[in-house]
Amino acid sequence: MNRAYFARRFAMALLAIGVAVVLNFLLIHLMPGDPAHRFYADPRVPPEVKQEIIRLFGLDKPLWQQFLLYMRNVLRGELGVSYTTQRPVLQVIAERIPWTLAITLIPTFLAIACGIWLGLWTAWRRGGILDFLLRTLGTATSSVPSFWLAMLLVMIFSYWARIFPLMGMVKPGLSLAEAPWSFIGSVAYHAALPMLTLFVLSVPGYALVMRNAVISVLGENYILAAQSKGISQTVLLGRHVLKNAVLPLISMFSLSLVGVIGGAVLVEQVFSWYGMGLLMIRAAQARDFPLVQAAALITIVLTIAANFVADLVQAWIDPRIRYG
Amino acid sequence: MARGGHRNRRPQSEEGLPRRERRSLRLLRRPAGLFSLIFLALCIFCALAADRISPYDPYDPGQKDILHALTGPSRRHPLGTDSFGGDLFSALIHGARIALIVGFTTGITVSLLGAVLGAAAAFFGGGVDRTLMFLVDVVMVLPGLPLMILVATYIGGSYWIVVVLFTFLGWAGVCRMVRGRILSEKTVPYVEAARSYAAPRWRILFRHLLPSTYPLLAVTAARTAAGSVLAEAGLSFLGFGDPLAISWGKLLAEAQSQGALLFGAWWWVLFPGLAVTLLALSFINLGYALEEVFNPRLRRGARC
Repeated sequence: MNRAYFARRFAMALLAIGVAVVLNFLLIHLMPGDPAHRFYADPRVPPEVKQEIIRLFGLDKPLWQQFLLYMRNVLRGELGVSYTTQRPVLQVIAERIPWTLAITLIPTFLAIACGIWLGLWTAWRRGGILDFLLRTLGTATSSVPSFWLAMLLVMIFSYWARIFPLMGMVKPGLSLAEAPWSFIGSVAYHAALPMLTLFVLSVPGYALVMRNAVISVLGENYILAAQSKGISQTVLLGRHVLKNAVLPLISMFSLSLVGVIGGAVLVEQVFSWYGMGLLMIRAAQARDFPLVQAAALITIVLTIAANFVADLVQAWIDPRIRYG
Repeated sequence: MARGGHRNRRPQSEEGLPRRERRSLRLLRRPAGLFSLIFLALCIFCALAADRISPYDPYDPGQKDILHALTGPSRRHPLGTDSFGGDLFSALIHGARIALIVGFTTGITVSLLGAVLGAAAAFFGGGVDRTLMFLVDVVMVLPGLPLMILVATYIGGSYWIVVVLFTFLGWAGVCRMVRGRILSEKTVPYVEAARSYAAPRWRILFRHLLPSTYPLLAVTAARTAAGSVLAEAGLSFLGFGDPLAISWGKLLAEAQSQGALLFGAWWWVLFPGLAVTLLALSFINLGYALEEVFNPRLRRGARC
């Protein structure tokens, strides 16, 4: 790994997070009304917590000092205390992160695997039925609201066919400690429809990008050279085409992460899947400001981190990026 | 490709027409473009004449047909009713307003801001370019929906949040594309020729470089419009839309919270979502059609 490239990307990611933190801070202070009032005027906040909040955020000090304090608190991981649960927000959020990552990352990786295969196939058999279907569906799926598709799937699979549960994450009464396998099984059963939703919506996009990349790679001279050597179709597609065509897919993956992690909120809402998104919605409805703010900040940090990793993977696979 | 089949079908008949008319005809000849235009026109008509044409007033609680609550499509209620007997057809007609306002405003603001900043980055270069490109990289990784929820928590639900945040986040992609297009167009021979005539730099920018980005801008404006329609529906669905106005996303939110899925009220779920999807699809198709209008190389009759 080229060290300079790594350093530049890392600085970028850190700066992006910094901008997000500043934005977060400015948002509170640019909003109409007194931010301090908003923080401790909530009747649910006991007086000693109120004093603690004023001290912790330096709400009686000038703005620039407040900003420094805010930065220090963020760096220490002190993002405040949730009004509704009276627990540190970081702790509340940490419990929810795995649930969101599970229903977003698994279908995304599956969609990429399927997209690679579909893209190879449709590019090889251009003009076939699958190709036509893919190109039609590709435009359609980009305009289908994810939550609507989720609702339709619930309608079909839970109401009419009664195959999958309506909502929730696990059968009540099961616990991970007592019966780990039936717990995991139940979670997978409940996660099937949310995952299916995200999977169905992301496959055509990846497949189309892959298809176009494969088509352009197939026109290259080295493919002709490989074919003239008389190698088999499997080796040609698997070794020469796949390696070169998969690159745009990875950059698409890193860009789509922004939408996938942020957009999971909608699907979580439909299925009452208690992840980061639903936590944020419920916090927002309860006007639990510290929790909403921290949840937004952590979602942003997660996406930036995921992007950073995806960029590194891309540079690792494609030497042209590192030295370009 | 798909367009090949219609190649050269009627190139002659166009020759005699004035330039502007020829362009609009091309837009209409693609079935997808035509369909999108019709659906968009229908939405605009609904939004403008909502009060006149909708059979019931969805804002008037007295006009709810409680005796026919939660019934499927019928002659009385062509698209069925919600759980209080509100006519979904009328609600859909009124919901077109917000969707169109959001779609058109963001489409225009995002592409304008992106074009201006992208042109500035390409034109000035150096520090301006580096700063702008850095900002682009930062803004590109900010997730929109969580930020919208955050803002909505503080200032309350409104569809203007979608417009403002889409503009705030969306310019980055447009800026990068416009900059790239201008930088690559700079090296094209006809621009070099213009420079050799000692044409002023700003003149080259406005006469030659910016127009070369129009096809791109048309597509991105349309895509942004589609994206913002979807985002507005999503935000309303989460309960952060305008609390007083009827929107398609809000209809879906009510369907979800009032148990349309439990009672199998498919019409309550199907039609509002279909409206959102079709409008977003129309915007995207319109973008492709406009790209063809602006970009002579993509035209069907064109030979290069």
